[in-house]
Amino acid sequence: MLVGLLVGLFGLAALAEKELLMIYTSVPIEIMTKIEEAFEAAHPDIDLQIYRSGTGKVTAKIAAEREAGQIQADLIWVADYSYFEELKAADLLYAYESSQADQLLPAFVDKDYCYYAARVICMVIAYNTTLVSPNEAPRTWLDLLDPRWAGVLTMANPQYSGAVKVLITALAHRYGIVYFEGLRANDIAIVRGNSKAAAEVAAGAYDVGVTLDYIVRNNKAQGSPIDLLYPEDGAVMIPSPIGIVKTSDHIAAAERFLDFVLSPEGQQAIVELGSFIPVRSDVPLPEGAPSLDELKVLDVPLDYLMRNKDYYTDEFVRIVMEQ
Amino acid sequence: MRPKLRMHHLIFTVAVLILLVLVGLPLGLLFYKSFVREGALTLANYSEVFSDQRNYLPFWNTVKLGFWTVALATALGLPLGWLVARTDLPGRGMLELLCLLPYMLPPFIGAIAWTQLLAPRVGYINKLWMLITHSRSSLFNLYTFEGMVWVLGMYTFPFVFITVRGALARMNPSLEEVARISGAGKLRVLKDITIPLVLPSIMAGMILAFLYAISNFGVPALIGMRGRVFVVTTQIFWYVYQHADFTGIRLATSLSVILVGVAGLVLWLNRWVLSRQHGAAIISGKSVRPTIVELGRWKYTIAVTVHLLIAFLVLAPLVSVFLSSFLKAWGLPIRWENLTVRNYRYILFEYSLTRKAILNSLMLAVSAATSVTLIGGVLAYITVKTKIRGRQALDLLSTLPHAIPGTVVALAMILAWSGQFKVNLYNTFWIILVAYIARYMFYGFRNISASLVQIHPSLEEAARISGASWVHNFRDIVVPLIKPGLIAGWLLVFMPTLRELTVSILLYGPKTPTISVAVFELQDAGYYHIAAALSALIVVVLLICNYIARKLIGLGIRS
Repeated sequence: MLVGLLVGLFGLAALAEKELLMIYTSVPIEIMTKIEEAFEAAHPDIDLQIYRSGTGKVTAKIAAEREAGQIQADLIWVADYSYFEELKAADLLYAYESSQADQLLPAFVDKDYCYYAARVICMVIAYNTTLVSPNEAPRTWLDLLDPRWAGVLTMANPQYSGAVKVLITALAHRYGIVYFEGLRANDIAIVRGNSKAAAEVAAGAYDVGVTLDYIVRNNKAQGSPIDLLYPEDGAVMIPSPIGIVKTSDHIAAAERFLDFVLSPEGQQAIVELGSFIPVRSDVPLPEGAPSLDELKVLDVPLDYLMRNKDYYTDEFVRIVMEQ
Repeated sequence: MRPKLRMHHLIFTVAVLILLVLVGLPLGLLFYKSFVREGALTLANYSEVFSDQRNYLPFWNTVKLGFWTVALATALGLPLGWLVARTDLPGRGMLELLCLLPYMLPPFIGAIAWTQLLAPRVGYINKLWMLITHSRSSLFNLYTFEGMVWVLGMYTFPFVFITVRGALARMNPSLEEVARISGAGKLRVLKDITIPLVLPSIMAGMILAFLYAISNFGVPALIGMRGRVFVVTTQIFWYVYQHADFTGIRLATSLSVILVGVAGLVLWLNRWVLSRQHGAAIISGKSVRPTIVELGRWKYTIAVTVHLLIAFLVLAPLVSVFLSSFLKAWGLPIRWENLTVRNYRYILFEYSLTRKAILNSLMLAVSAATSVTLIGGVLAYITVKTKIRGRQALDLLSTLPHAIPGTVVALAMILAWSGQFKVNLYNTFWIILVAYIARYMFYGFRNISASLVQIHPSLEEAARISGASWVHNFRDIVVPLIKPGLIAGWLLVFMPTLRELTVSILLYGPKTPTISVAVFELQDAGYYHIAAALSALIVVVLLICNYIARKLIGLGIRS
């Protein structure tokens, strides 16, 4: 008991010397801890604290904290890019012109410098390579509705994953809400997040899954029998933005993290540690990833996304997820 | 004498106030809020609960889950209790140990463990089946209602086992002997004498199992939610978790009050049935030698079968957790080249969440156990050793948060301590600690009461006559005498709080994860192999703590 207390006190004392920087993010924790290590090695005076959860949970948390008066995060880095437009409209983001701003691809910089895409991720189709051969694998989003995949499909929950929220809005935009009914008819299993969807496919619990490209690349690199394909009717491309919270007490430290993530070294680290697609053209792509020019994208207009994503999420829950 | 008198009154008042603020206030507020909408008293929240399928289905599932879990727990616990208490089965000690093992572990670890065995297509048993039959589909699907019943049954049968074994061992054998001498056959004795006599105990065990099942969160969350089967605890979790802005809390409060209602109804039914029995004197507390049934030539066949069966049910899931904890990725076949200790290195040294969680849980468990021992000690003293009016209410207040589901306690804490009374503890260490203290006050209170009852008043009287103040008397006479009870009580709070999930999952903040929350998050995020490593670690720590607790309590009784 005493030992426990002492260890606790020493732990607290050791942390107290550094500046604490809190980031709320949906970047998978395994990757985020590696980014943390790289950042802290370069900035030893800062202790980066991570709160990691799905975009849905992070945004709900921020909403609750706003209501209570103070957002506890210094930085926000989630998948749903339309959310940053909402934050910006509510005047919650701190405008910072990063020293890296002019080096990035223009599409990934907010014109008022309120947020920057710091990685590009894509919703794609993944399949287990021991259960499904590359020729058999579904090639389009519509192929997923083929009865052949009934009972062996999985994807993540849009209430949790911001990327899935964008995906289902894009799919409904393109194919209509009847697409959700097709997924239900195929008895698609809804798991919490995209990492889990990929893990289940890699383990062979399901033949085919809908998940994020970098997660599949990471699993594949670790030796799991999983591969991905960018659907022929278009992958859903998600520039995942990062922004500084206006009310933060650690603006200077937050700026340093932002600069780090957007710098060539930071982007290089992001490619190597997370297999993300970088937002700079001077950083090489991760192995097996398409360049952004070649990538066929299933587009959804930003205003359509902002107006309809919550409606489609509710409909998805009602049609696909309820008992 | 005067100032000293005030001193101990002050201590009493403080302890009672703490209990009122920690328990009375939040639960009262929860109850009140469930009847309020827009400032007016109404039943609207309840009618809304029952007009929405998303709410009444979970409610119905909860009742069904409780019922079937009890059925399974009884089917296992009853015969096992009888075998251990009343037969000459070889290896009864071993069997007893196996039956008690699940009791020491939290069911969410069980859910993780059974996932390793029975998850469709990837659980080890299903894999084996698919390998043998060359089938592409699985034998079992854990992610179903039946899957929840199965896992909860595995973790509740010890309740029935313990109560049945205890009652059978303490039963006065002369009644059965009289019946047999009067010419009744073995079955007749069982039907007319034994079963009616132990029925109250069987019922008590069944009720514990029922309450445990309907208030459990980990199993329905890790198994049921996956198969689209929601129960009340997971529905409340989903409301709070998804709407962190409290929009769902209104419905959640009504759901909780209904859940408490079910629990209360069951407890009341139990009392009513017991009050119609007159078995108190027949099952005596004194040690008697019960008649032992000889199993005859079937003895060894039964012994081997039962041992193998129970060892499989209890140990196989644990073994699979340990195996998976060494895998590089989940689903890989268990071969030498796929094994690694990286998962352990990761949770212990690399991953800040698990490191923070281990530290946080340790601090919480130590603080909760210490607070409960201190406050519970004073409260127990008041109830047992004084004649202060209203002391029975203390008993009720300290038992209440234990009898009602943890989810409800957590919800009450959120309502009371997130700014309602100008105190905002939401997302902090303190709200978890407060909830733990409220929920586990029962253990401290009961244990210390039991020890206090055994102290003869003459000892304290002697101290007081010799001029010792109340504080001196408490410090020099009472505390040393009940020391084993205090230590046991401390450990009985320390162990469950170290791995508490149901309350923590609703109350943790970004800076205050607990070990169980970390396991839950890892499992729910799909890092099965890493979750397995952390689970394995918890299992080892809990088993060691249990061993130490047993040694300490054993020593205490002897000295």
